[in-house]
Amino acid sequence: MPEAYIKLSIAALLPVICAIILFLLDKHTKFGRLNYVLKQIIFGLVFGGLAVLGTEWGIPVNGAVANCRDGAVLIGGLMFGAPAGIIAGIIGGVERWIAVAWGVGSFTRVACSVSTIIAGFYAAALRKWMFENKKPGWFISLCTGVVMEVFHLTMVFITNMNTPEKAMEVVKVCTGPLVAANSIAVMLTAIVLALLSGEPLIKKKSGIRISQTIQKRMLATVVVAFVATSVFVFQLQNQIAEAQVENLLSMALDDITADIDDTTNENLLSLTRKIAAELETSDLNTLADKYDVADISIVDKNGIIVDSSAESFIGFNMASGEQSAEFLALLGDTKEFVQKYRPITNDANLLRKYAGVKTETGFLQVGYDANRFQRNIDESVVGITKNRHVGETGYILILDETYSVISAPKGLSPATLQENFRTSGIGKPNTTFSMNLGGVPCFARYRTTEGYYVVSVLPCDEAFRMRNIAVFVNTYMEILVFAALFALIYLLIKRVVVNQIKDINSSLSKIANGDLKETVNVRSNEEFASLSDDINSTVDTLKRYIDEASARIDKELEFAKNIQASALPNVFPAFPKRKEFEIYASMNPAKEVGGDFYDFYMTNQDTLHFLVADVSGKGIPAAMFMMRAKTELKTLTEAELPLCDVFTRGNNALCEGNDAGMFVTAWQGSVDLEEGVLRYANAGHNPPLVRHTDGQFEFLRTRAGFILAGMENVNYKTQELRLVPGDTVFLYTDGVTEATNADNKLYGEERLQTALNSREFDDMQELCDFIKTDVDAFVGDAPQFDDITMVAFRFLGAPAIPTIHFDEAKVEDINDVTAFVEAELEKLNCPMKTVIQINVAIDELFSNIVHHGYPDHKGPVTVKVVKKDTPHHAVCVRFEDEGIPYNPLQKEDPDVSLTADERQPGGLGIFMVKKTMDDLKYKYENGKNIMTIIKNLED
Amino acid sequence: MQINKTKNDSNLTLALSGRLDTNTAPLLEAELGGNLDGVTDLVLDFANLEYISSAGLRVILSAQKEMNARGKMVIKNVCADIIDVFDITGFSDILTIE
Repeated sequence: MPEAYIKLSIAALLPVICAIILFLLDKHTKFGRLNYVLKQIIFGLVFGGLAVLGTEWGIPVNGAVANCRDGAVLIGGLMFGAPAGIIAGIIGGVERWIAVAWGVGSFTRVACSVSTIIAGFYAAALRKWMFENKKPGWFISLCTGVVMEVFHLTMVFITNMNTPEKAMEVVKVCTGPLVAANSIAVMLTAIVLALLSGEPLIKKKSGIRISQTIQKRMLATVVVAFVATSVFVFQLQNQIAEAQVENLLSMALDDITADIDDTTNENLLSLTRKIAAELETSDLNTLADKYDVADISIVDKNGIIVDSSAESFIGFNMASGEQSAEFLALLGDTKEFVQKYRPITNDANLLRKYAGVKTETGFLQVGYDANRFQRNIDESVVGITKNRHVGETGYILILDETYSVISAPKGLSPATLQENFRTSGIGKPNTTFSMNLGGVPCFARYRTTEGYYVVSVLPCDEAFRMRNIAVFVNTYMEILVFAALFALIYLLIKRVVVNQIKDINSSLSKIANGDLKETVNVRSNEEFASLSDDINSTVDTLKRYIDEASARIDKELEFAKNIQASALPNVFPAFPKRKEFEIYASMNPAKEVGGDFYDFYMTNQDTLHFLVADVSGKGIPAAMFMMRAKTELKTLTEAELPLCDVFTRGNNALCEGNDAGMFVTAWQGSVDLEEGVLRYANAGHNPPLVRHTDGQFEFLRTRAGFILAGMENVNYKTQELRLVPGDTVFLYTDGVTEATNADNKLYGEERLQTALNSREFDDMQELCDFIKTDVDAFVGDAPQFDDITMVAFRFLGAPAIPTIHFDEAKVEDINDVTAFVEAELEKLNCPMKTVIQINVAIDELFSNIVHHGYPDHKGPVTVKVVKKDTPHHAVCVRFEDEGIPYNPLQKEDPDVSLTADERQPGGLGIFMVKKTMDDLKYKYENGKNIMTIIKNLED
Repeated sequence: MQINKTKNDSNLTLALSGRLDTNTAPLLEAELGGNLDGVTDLVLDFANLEYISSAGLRVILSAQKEMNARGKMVIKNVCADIIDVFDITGFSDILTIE
C-alpha cells in the first residue's frame, strides 16, 4: 500500500518537473522567442504526452487504477495557455479511449476519456475567462484540481448508472489518491512557477474584489446548505436502508421458518398417515418403535385418549389443555393437523411435535420428541437454507442452541461463525442487530424455530450501498454545483459589474486627465445608468465652474492689462512743447498682460529718460514684477542718481524678496538735451539700434551688465554717446527679434536692421508702426509668443541758449553780465523786483568766482539764461567756471542776530542769494563748477 | 553809482544813486574812509539807490561800526526791495533807518 502511494506520488511529480523545465526554457532560452502558436502546440504535445504516460503508468491502488492524467492536462492549460490545455486534453482523452485495446480498464473508459478532454477545455476556459490569461495562484490551482477530479469521479457514476455498486466501489477507492495526486500536482506547479517568476505566494491585495466578497458569503451559505442537505440525505437514506434491512431480514426469516415448518409438518404427517394405515395390523408400541416416534395415541369422538403407546396418556381428555385442545379440530371437518414443537398440556416440561389424522372413530395423534425432531430438521433444513440468499450478498445461518452451525453458505468457516456468536452473543429474537461475521460487518436478525436459531444476515456494505451512493453522488454534485456557481458569480460580476466599472474608470481617467468632453455611458443596468448620469452631471457642473472661473480670470486679466497699459506713458505726442526731441513707444502683449515694459519721463528741464525692459515669464506674475521694476527704476532715476547707481541700487532692491526668481533685462538711456549727450546703461538687454544723421541704423553693441534681480551687488557702468540733431535710437525687446513664423524661423536682428534702413521715417510713430507691420507680415498666421515692445527716440537738437562768455572774466565784467541778463529777462516780462534780485545774485556769484575761483582773479566764465516751463515757469541763470572746485551752498549761513560790532563782513552774499532765489543748484562736472540759480516767474 | 556829498559841520549826508554792488562799493568805501573825521551824524540817502549787494552791505556795516564810535548813522529813503535785503540779513536791527 505505501509503495503504491509512493509510486503515485512520483507519477504525479513528473508533470510538475516537466512544467518547471518548460517554464525555465521559455524564460531563459531561445525557445521563449518562438511564436505563440508554435509554443502552444509544443506545450500541448508535451502535456498530452504526460497525460498518456499518466494513463499507461497508472498505479493500482486497492484494486482500482489511480493516475495523474488530468493533472498533466490541467497544468498545461492553467500554467502554459488555453490552447496547450485543449491540445493536451484531447491527446490524453483520445489515448485513454484507445488504450482499452491494450488492457487499460474499460469500466471507466467513457468517464476517463471524457473527463480528460473536458479537463483541457476546463483549464483553458478558466485561464481565459477567470485568470485573465495569467498563472493562477496555488490555492486556486489546488481547488481547480479538486473540482476536476470530483467531476471525473462523478462521471464514473454517470457513465455507469446500470452498475452503481461497481461504480461506487471504484469511486470509494479512487477518490483519495486521485484527488490528492492531481490537485497537489497542479498546486505544486503553481507554487514552484510563482517562486521562479519571483511572485509572492501570498499576494498583498489592496482590497477584496466584489466577486470574492460574494463568493465568500456564498461559500458560507452554500456550505451550510450543502452540509444540511448531505446530512439529511444521509439520515433519510440511513433510515430507508435500516427499514429495508429489517424488512429483508425478517422476510427471509419468515420464508425460511415457514419452509422449515412446512417440511417438518409434512414429514410428521406422512409418518402419521403411514401409522394410521398400519393401525389394523400392528399394535401401538410396535408402530412407535418402527417409526421411532415418541408416542401414538388414539382419540375417540369425545376427545378422550382411548389407547396410547404411552400408558399414562390413556384416559386423557384432549379438551383439558390448550395444546391438546387444538387437535379437537380433527373431530370436525379437519382431516389433518400438525402442531409446532412445543410443551405438551399434561407435562409442561415435555416438548413434542404432534400431528394428527382423522379416523372413523376419532383421530390418530403421533408425536415425536427433540431427538427425533432434530434429526428430522437437520436433514431437511440444510437443504432448504444452504443456497438461499438474503438480498445479494446476505445469507441464512442455522445454529443450534450452542451456536454450532447447522447450515451456512459456502466460504464461511463454521468455527469462525460460532466464535463470532459466542463472543458477541445473539441478542433478542426478531430484532435487527449488527455484528461482525467472518470479519465482515453485518446486520443480523434471528428467530427460533423448532429449537434452532434461524439467522438472516446482510452485510452492512450492501445494506448501505444505496445510501453511500446517494451521499457520494450528492456530495460530489454539490461540489461541482458549488464550483460552477463560484465561477458563474465571478463571470457574472465581471460582466455585470467589473467590466462596467472598468468602462467608467477609463472614462473617469480621461476626465481626470482634463478631457471634460468625455461622457460616461454605461447603461447596462439602472445603477450604472444612474452612476453614469451622476458623473456626467458632476463633470458638467465642473465644466461650468471652470468656464465661469476662466471667464473671471479673463476679466481680471483684462483689468490687469488696462492697469498695465495705463501705468506706461501712452499719450502721444508725449511732450508736445518740446522741440528738442520726439519719442514714441508701443507694447503688444502676447497674452493679456506681459512682462515687457517701457517708460520715459523727464526729471528736469534738460533730461529725458527712456527705457525698455523685459521681465522673465509672462502673465500676471511677470506683470506684477514689471510694475515693481518700473517703479523702482523710476524712483531711483528721479532721485537724480547717476544711471549706473540707478541700476546698481535698483538691482539690489529687486533682488530683495524675489522668491519667485524673476529677473529683468533693461536698457535705460538718459539724454542731456541741452548738451546732446546720451548716457545709458544696459542690464542684459538686446542692443539698441542707433542711426546717426545721414548714416544707417547700427547696433549699439557695448558690453552689457548683468540682468537685474539676478544677483545682488552687481555693478553697472554708465556709457555715453554724443548725439547730434537727427540721431535716432531704437529700443526693442526680444519679442521683435524672436517673432517666429509658421516655418519656425526667427525675425532676427538682421531683418530688423534691414527694415529700419529700408526707408526714411517722418516721425517715430511711423517708425514703430512700420516695424510692427513688418514683423506681423513675417509672422503671418503663427501665434505671437512674446510681447512686442518698441521705443523710438529722435534727437532734434537743443535750442540756442542765450550765453555770455568771458575768456578772462574780471569783476568789472559784472556790468556786462547784468546788462545781458537784464535784456533776456526783459524778453520774459520779468518783474522789476525779480530783475533786481537776480542782478544782486549775479553780482554775488560772479564776483565770488572771480575773487575766489581763480587765484589771479581772472579766468573763463560762462553765464547762460534758460527759461524753464516745468514744473513752474521759471528763469535759470547758470554760471560755469573752470576755477577751484567750490560749492558755495555748503558755506554756513551768517548769524544775522548779532550787533553791528560783533558782525563780520562776508558770507552775506550767498546768504542773500539763498534767501531771494527759489532754488539753487551746484554741480561740479567735467572740470567745471556749475552753479544755477532758479527764480520762479509769477504767472 | 553816483554819490552826492553834502557836508555841514559834523553832519555828512551822502545821497547814493544807482547800484551799490561789487564794483561800486569800493567808491563808497573810499568816500567814507577819507571824510569821517569830525563827523558825528552820518546820513545815507538811498532814495535813488536801485539795489545793494553784499559788497555794499560790508561797506555799510563798517560805516555803522565807525559811527557807533563817534556819533550816529542814519539811512533814509530806503526802498522796499532794499528794506527786504536789510530784513533778510538782519541789518534792520543794527542800522537806523528812517
